[in-house]
Amino acid sequence: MFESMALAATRLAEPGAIAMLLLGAMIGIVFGALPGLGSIVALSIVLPFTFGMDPILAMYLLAGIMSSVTFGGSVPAILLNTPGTPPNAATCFDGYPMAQRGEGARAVSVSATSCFVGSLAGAVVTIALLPVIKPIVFSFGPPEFFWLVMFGLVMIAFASRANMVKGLVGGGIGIMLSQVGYSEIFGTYRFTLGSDYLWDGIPLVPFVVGLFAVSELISYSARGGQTVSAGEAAKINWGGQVLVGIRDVLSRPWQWIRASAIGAGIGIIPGLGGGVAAFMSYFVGMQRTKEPELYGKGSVEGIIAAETANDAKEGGALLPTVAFGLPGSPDMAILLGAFILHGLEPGPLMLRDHMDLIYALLFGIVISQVFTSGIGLVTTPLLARLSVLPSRWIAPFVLILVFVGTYMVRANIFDVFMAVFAGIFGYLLRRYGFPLITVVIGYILGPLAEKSYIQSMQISDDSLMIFITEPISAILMFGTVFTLAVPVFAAIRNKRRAKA
Amino acid sequence: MKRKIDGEFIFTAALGLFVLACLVETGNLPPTLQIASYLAGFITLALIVLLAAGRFRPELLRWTETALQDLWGGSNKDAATLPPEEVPPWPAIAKSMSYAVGFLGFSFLLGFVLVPPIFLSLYLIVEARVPARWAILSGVLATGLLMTGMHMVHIDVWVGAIPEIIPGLLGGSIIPPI
Repeated sequence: MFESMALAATRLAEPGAIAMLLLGAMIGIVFGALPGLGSIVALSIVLPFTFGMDPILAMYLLAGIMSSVTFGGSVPAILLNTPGTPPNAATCFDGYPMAQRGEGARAVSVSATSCFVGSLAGAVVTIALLPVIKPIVFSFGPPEFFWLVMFGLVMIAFASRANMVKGLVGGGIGIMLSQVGYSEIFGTYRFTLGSDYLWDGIPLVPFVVGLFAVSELISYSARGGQTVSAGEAAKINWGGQVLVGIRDVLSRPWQWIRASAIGAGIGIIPGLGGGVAAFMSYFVGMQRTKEPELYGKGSVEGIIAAETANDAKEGGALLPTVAFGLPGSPDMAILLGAFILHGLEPGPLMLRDHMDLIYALLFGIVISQVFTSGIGLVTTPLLARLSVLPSRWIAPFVLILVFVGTYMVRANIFDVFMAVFAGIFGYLLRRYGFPLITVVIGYILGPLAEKSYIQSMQISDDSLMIFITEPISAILMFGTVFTLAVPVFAAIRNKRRAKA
Repeated sequence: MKRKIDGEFIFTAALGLFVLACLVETGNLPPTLQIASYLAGFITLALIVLLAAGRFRPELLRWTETALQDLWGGSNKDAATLPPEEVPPWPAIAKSMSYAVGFLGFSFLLGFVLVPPIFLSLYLIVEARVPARWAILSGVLATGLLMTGMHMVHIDVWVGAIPEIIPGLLGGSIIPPI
């Protein structure tokens, strides 16, 4: 084990390795920052070019991309309310309000630092769990999955906060929209209106990018002006904000440790994507904080929760990928392709014979994140000035990026139509007070809940007991019910006290 | 006095119709697939009806909202302390939407090579009052960069749904099935 670690670490000092990590970090930042693109597109484009490369160098390049995309995606999420990748949607909720109050540089700095601590924690968790990964992965079947996702759905109630009825309606609409398309289990089409395009469902990237980015652009360009006025901008110490952002993260160790644990934990479970990690961590953070009223209005803790979990999940997702060939996330599926391209077979043999490559990937993720965060922190004062530019200068460029970005994912022009429709729909939701956050949670988690429910019922011959008889499932169910019940009991107790 | 039937009411009603249509369609699905749709659909529809009814009987909505807030929403003060967001007037919004939809329509017909530089330049000149030469230069540069990027990663640029006029630049893209 230590030999492999040492080999991977010594290779890191080679100029080729550093060049690959830097290249990966830069590709990742660019692909992350362009709305609609992201790690899947970046990895699939770069993958063929790694053919014939030294496998360790190829791993460094891919690790560089994987670890930097989320930071890249957080920059437009914070400064333009336009998530670069779908998991960055959780960063918009607090990042953009911070940018509006002239704290864009602080928010980007918080994101860069959170991404670094998240990557580091994810790698540490992965190294620690490598010897015991097998029972963990195999203890998660459909019933456990179901309760985990239900926990996320329950969070819709907490996310609604100030506008509970509309928030719940938004969540329901999100679930209904997520059901559009072909059901693999029953071979049936739902709500497709006879359209071939909708067979695959409403595509995630155009929907989320449209909902957030296009809806914001409509409002942004109609309003005119700037995110931060020139007068206010003159008083802002952009460089000073970078240091404040670093301190914000370092002074909240419990928050990033918790977010890292959630991110890495969700990453380990195959099939749950980055969006789930970010949202789950965000809501747990919202519940645990002493200042929940600040969430959604520019809370530093909200950004830490979302971005740390986003990056920590990469390390976690690597575990089932290398140990069993089970990709923990879509980008890990592409990494699996990279292993095969380089003649490596993921599974127990890889753990025995190619540990150096696994460590190379983990170290690569961390070191590349150092580069990414470094680039991020150095350029933050410059990037944050985007919020001072007149909105009508920025809007058309972002709209073109959204169009080209959503088109590039599947080279389907109707994805651009979807982004515009989602944008108009998103604008109406915003205008009439329906929180977008609950729509996205319902849309992402709804199908996961349904699929794991149906699989559980098939396994158990239609017996609901499967959800409570399995120990982990029972614990997760208890946790979900407890989360819902505690505020109810607290409310009853408060009323009794008030009466007394 | 607030009008009872306004844009918000119409939008809420449209959401209700969408959910209702989904619920009707759900009846034709295999029973196991009906569970999630019925569960989410009926709860959502009930809440939408409550929202709509709240326009005519505000106390109904207020009571439900307060009850839900007491349980899971924290304090209603949260809503009260939110900074009032500047809501742009409908004509300005309609103009922004028209730009987006117009850009989409022209891009569909004429492609990503021709339309983005024209759209970008026009928007910058007309709406952002940027001098024409800078606007045109920005439009051409931005489009050039994007097209180069797409070529570098071997993605076929959308050149428009119209019959081919200039090969690889204008017209002749294959429309995917809809």
